[in-house]
Amino acid sequence: MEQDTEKTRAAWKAFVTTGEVPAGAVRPSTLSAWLRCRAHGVDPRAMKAHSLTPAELATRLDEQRELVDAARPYMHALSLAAGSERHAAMLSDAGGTLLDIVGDEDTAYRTANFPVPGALLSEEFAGANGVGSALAVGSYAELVGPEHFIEGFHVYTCQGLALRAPDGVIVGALSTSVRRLEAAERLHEILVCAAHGIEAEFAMRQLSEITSQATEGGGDEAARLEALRQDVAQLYAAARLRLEHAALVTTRGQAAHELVRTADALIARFRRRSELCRVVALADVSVPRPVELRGRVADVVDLIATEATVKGVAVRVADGPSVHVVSDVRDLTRQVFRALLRAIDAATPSVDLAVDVRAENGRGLVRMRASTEAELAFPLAEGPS
Amino acid sequence: MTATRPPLVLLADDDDDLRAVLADILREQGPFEVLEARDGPAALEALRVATSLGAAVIDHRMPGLTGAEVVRRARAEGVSVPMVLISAAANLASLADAHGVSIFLAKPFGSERFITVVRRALAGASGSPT
Repeated sequence: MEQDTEKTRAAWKAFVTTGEVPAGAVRPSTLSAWLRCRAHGVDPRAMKAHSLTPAELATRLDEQRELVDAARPYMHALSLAAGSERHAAMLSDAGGTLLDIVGDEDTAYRTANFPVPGALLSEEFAGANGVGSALAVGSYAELVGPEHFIEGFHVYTCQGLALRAPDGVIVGALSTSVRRLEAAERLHEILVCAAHGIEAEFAMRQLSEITSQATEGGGDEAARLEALRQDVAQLYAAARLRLEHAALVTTRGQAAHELVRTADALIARFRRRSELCRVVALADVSVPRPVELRGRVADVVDLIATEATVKGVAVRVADGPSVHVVSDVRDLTRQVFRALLRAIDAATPSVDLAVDVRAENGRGLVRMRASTEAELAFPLAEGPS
Repeated sequence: MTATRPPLVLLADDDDDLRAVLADILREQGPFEVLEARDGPAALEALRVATSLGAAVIDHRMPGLTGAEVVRRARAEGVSVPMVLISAAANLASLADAHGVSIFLAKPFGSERFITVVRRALAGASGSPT
């Protein structure tokens, strides 16, 4: 590793002096970042990042309060996972301004030249770094020691990830910095999971707003929707606690790999369910397109699993081949959702609700059978189904 | 010398994922002993028979009986164990008249807050929605 670092340092010196590096001397992602920094005219000999004034920072923090609040529990989990190592978990807005920092006392609050809230960490101002480079590429960035463009950051290893709102727009970046010249897989996986957790928090808030509006009128439908939102929130609650637990286990030196994977899997399930819940809460439409009916039905069954359990009904989707239909996927989802709820309501507790999906006579059929029978039909897509 | 046993906490939640992680947190960060129930009737039965319970954490939305119903029935039968009602309801205040609940806790919550609330319950504290 030391040899790699020296090789990178030599490549950095060559690049900042001549604009060239020997082929293969640095990772392609690093070279791309350096080229962007050079194009921005960043001073590689800078020892620290530029910063907003205190008044500007106060305004920015007011504007970004929602992001800071959403990220806080996850930054604490990240910091916890770093244990006794000198580290900092950092949150920036979409422009790379550092908003919040959680870490060990020495690194986060007492190290000269270490970025503090208000620091401008976009590549344009601070060169390649965990925050700025993640924002520049819109995904994950990792900078080890002299892979950072400005010299002041050469003692750190930074890993960062862009954060996206439910509509896909980048809203900020989450990163970890450790005073060590090596990237840790352990922190990487918790960083990724924490970033997904923050994005899930945004999805949860959006879903709460949508369901709040959709349930304003009250009534049975509103009550069902609110119950559904609670079930989705339950999954989010489990994911957040599992990540916190994984971080705690990590600090004890125990392997938390499986726990982090469980947390990430819960977040993935939450995202699928929250997206479906959003679709059933809204009345919007989309252009008809091919939809795989069996998978969509299975997703809706998963969405209403708790509702079915509370009613004492077990819903079973029979195995079978894929069935491709053409439909407005949102309208189809709402139709399946409402039909399943009616079937659950009509079913006698302790009776299985059998759901069968099949292609028949040019149509994709969803048959629900318990105490009563119901059927939905959609036109099949052209070609084999 | 006899080691003191950790307090016993009833944890009632139908969601396997949430119950599993809450149980892990109670055992490791308490530390508490945990008795698990996965629906309303099982929670009520545990409250009736587990005489050494120090506190109970009960989810509101469960099969069989809601958490609020579990608490109300248990209180009516003379169960005096402190009970924490957890819920993801948008308006937790709507459950605030659930008779006999010691502390309300809104989901999602962090592990530290959860343990603090359980400790408060074990100490016999009560409070409005939190």
